[in-house]
Amino acid sequence: MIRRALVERGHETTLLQPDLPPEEIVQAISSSGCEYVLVGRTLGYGVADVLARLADLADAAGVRSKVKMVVGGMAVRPEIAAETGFDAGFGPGTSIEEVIAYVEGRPVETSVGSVTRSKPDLTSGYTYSFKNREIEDTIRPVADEVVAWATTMTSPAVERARLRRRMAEASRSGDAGGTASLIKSYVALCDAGIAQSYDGGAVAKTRPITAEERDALARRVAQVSAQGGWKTIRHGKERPVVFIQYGTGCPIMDITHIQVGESWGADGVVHFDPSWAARKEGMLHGFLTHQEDGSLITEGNLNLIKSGMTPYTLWQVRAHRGLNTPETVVLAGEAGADLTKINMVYGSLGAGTDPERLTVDGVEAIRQAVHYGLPFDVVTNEELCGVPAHKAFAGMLIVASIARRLGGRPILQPLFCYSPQVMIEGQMKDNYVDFNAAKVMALRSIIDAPVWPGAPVGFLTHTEDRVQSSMTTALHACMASSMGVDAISIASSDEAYSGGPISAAARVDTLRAVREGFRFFGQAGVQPTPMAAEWASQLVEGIHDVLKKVRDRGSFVGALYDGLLGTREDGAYPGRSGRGTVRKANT
Amino acid sequence: MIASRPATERTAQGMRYEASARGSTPAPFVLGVAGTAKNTGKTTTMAGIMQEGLARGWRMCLTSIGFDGEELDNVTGLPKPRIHCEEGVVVATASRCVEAGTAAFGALEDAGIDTALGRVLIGEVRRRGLVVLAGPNKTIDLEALLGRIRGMRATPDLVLVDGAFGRIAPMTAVDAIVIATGGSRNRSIPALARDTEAIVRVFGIPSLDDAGWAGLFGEVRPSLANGAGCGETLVSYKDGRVATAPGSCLLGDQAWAAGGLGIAGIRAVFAAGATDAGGIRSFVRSLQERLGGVSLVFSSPISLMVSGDPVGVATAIDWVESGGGRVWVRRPVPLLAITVNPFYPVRLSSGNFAGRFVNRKNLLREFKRRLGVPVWDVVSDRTAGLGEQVASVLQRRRPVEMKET
Repeated sequence: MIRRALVERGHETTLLQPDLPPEEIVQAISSSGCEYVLVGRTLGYGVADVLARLADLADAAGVRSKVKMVVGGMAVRPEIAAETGFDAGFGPGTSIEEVIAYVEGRPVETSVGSVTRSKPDLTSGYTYSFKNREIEDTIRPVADEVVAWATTMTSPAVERARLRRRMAEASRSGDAGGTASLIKSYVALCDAGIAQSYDGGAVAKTRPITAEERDALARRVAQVSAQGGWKTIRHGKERPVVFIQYGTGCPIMDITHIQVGESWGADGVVHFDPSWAARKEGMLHGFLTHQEDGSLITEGNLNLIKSGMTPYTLWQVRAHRGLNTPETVVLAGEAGADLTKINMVYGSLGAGTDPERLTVDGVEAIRQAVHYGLPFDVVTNEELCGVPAHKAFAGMLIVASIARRLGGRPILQPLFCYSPQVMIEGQMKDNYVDFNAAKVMALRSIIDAPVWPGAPVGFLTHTEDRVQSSMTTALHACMASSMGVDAISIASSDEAYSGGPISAAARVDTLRAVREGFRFFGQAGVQPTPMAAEWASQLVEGIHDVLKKVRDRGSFVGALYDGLLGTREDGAYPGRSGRGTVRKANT
Repeated sequence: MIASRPATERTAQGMRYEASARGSTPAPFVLGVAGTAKNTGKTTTMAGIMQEGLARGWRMCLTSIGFDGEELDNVTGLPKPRIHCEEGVVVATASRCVEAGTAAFGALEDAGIDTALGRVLIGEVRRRGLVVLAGPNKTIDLEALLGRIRGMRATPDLVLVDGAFGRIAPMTAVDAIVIATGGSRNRSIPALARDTEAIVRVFGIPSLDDAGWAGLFGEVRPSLANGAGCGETLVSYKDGRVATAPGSCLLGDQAWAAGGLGIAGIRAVFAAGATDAGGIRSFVRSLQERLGGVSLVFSSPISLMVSGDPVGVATAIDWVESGGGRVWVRRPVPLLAITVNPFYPVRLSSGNFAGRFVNRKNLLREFKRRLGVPVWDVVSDRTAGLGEQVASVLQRRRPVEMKET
C-alpha cells in the first residue's frame, strides 16, 4: 500500500522480497543508491535484534549516512526506532499519508485522525411537548403542586445558594467588604466542621493543593493542550455524545484523567464528589485534595479542573442528592459548567436525603440552573436500589415537568444496565437489549425530550475482567447509539471493581472499545425483539398508574414518604439527612 | 522497500563532521560502552563509570546510540536500570526524552541532529534526577555530536556513549571501548567465554600506521571516515600497482570477484566497510591459496564486529594468518575492559518475559582464566576497579588537567 502511494507520488521504488538477510538488504541499498529504506516488521525479541543488526551493517558499510531508515509495523514505536538505529518508527494507526510526508520531508501530520471539536447542546431541537396526553394531564397538577408549595418554603441550602450567588456577584464587582459579610452569614448556616474551615481549620482526609502544584499543573496543561490531536469516538454519527466520569479525590489527577479521556474521544466529563460531603450542611472552600474517592466541590477545585479541560469538553457537575444541591448548581454555574444533575426522587429514596428537604432544595436548584442556563439530567439511579423502572420513570417525569414549569431544560436519564429489579423480574434473562430498548421507546412515546442513558451504561454487567467490562460497555453504547439517544455515560473498565484508584489505562480500554463498537456498527443498528415493544407498553402503563396515585395523593412529598415512587420493599427508604430543616419562607 | 525522491526534490545531504577535527584541545576522552546483546549491562556499566568519574571530580557527558534510562524495556517489558544524574553532568539526548526524566536542565543547545524522538539537545543538569537518553544512533551523527562537544566552552573530561542491543557501528567514533556481555548473549558459560575471547582477539588486531600503509599502498590515501560510501576496495600488487574493486564490504560466502582484477601478485587489500566471516573466507578462497605475504587491512575492529559473529571472524582471521597472510586495522579502538552480567531474559509461555541468571562465580572464573583483559561484574562488584582503569587512561592523555582525589 505504501509502495503504491509512493509510486503515485512519483517516487521510484523497489520492493525487496521478504525475509532477506540484513547483508543482502545492505547490498541492495548500496547498489540502488536509494534515499529511504522502509522496513515493515512485526516486532518480537529476536526481530528487534535483526533490525538493530541491519542498521549497524548499513552504518559500517558506509551507506547509513546516505539513507533514511524507517521501520513500521505492529508494536513499533519511535523509541524502538531510536534504539534499533532507525531514523523513524511508525506503529499501528499510522496513515499512509504520514509515511509519505516523512519520505517527502514534509512535516508529519500528527493531527491525522484528530477532529475539529465543538460543544453540542444536548437539548437543542427538543420541544418537550408531551406525546401522551393522558400522562401530561396526570402529571400537570403534580408539578403545579410541587412548585406552588416549594415556593413558600426555604431551607439552609436555599439560603446558602442565594448567599453564594451574591458572594460571586460581590467578588466580581470587587466588593471585598460585602464578600466578607456574606461569608460570615454563609458560615452561620454551615455545620461546625465546615464552618471552622473558613477560619483556617484543617479538614479531615484533605490537604490544600499548594501554589507550586497548581503552577506545575498549569505548565503541564499547556503542554498537553499544545499537542492537540484529539480523536473522535463516533463513526459517522453526531450522537450519542460520550461522557466519562471522574472523581479520584485529587483535582490534579482528575485533570489527567480528563485529558486522557479527551485524547481518546470523550466528549464530556462528569464530576463525582465524595458522598460524605453531601451529608454536610455547607461546602468547603479553597484548593483541596481528598484522600479517598470523590473530588470535593469547591470554587477553587472547580476552577482548577475547568482550567485543565479543552473549551469543547462538556462538563457536568452533579447536584442531585445531598444537602448542598442548589449551592452546587450555583458553584457549577459560576465555574462555567455546561450541565448539572438534579433529581429529588433519587436523592430522597436512594441517597439518604429527606424528601421534604430535597424537594425544596431541588426546586431552588432548578431555578438556579435556569439562571445559569444549565441543562440537567434527571437520573433514575433509584432503580439500583430495586425500585422498578416504571416508578423511577414516574419520578423522573415529575421532576422534568417541574423543570419545564420553571423554564429548565431537563434531560431524561434512564438507567441502561442490569438492575436488581430486572434480575428479579427476569427481563434480561435472554438479552440485555430488549428491556433497555423498551425504556427508551417508552420515554419517546411519552415526551419529546433528550435522552441520556447511564450512568454508566452497562453498569452491573461489568466484572473485574477489564476485557469483559470494556466489551459490555461497548455493546451497551452501540445499542444506545442504535436507539438514537443523545448522550451516554461510560465507566472505565475497572471502575466497578477497581478496589482502589481508577487507572488511566482502564479508561482508555473502554473508550477504545466503544470507538471500535461505533466503527463496527456505523449506520447499522441493533434490532430488539418484539418483546421490547411489549415491555415499553407495560412501562407506559405502569408510569401512568404511579402518576395517578401521586396526583391523587395531592402531595409529591407525601407520595415520596408513602412509597408511591418506591417502597421500602423495593429498597427505597426516604432519607433522614436534613429532616426538619425546612421552614416557611419569609415572603 | 527502498525508495528515492524524484530528482527535482533531491536535497543536499547534511554537513558531515570532519575527522581532522579530532584532537582539538582540550579533547575529552570518549568512551563507548557497547553490548553484545540486550540486557548485558551496558547502562549499568555506563552509570558505574559515571559515578566513578563524579567521585574523581571529572566533568562528565552522557549520550546513547540507543534508548536508555526508561523504566521498562521497550521489547521485553522488564525493568531497566535508571540513570541518575548529578548536577553538572552534561547530557545529549533527544528532545522528547528531556521531559521524560526528572532531572532539570539549564539552557539546551540544539545539536542539529534529528532522531526518531526529536532533535538531539545538549544541556547541563541543574537539578539532579533521572535522565532518559536517546542520542545520535548512527556514526555520522555521533561524530557530529562529538564535534560539538569538543567545541564546548567547558569541554567534558569524559564522554560516555551508551550502546544499544548488540549495535556497535557508531562506536567507530569513540576513543576506547568497554564491551558488556553476559547471559543474555549466551547462557552457556563455555560458549560465552569463547565468544568473548574472540571479541578480545578482534580488538587486538594490530594497527597499521602511516608508514606501514605507505609501504603497502604507496601514496593512495584511503578515506577512513566512516560514511565515505561503499566506495571501493583497494588492491595493491607487488609490482607497485594499486587498483580498485567495487564495494568496500566483504560480506557473505559469495566469491570475492575483485571486479575482474587479477589475483596474481596481490600484496594487500583494504576493505573499509563491514566484513563478516563469510567475506573473509570468500576472499581467501578467491586467492586460490596464494595467501603467503598478503596483507588484509580493515578500517577498524568495529567493521569486523558488526556481523555479530566474533567467533566466526576470529576463526577466519586465524585462517588467514595460518596461511601466511597478515591482518591489520587502520584505526584501532582500544578495548579497555569487559563487563559481564549473569542476567538473561526468558520468554514465558504467557508471552511475558522473566529474568534468569547464569552462575556468576563460574562465569567470572572462566572469563578471568581465558581473557587477557580486565573483567568486571558491575552489578555485583564495586566499580572502583573500572574507574581506576578509566582514570589511568585519562591521566596518560592529560596528566596536567586531572583532578583525581
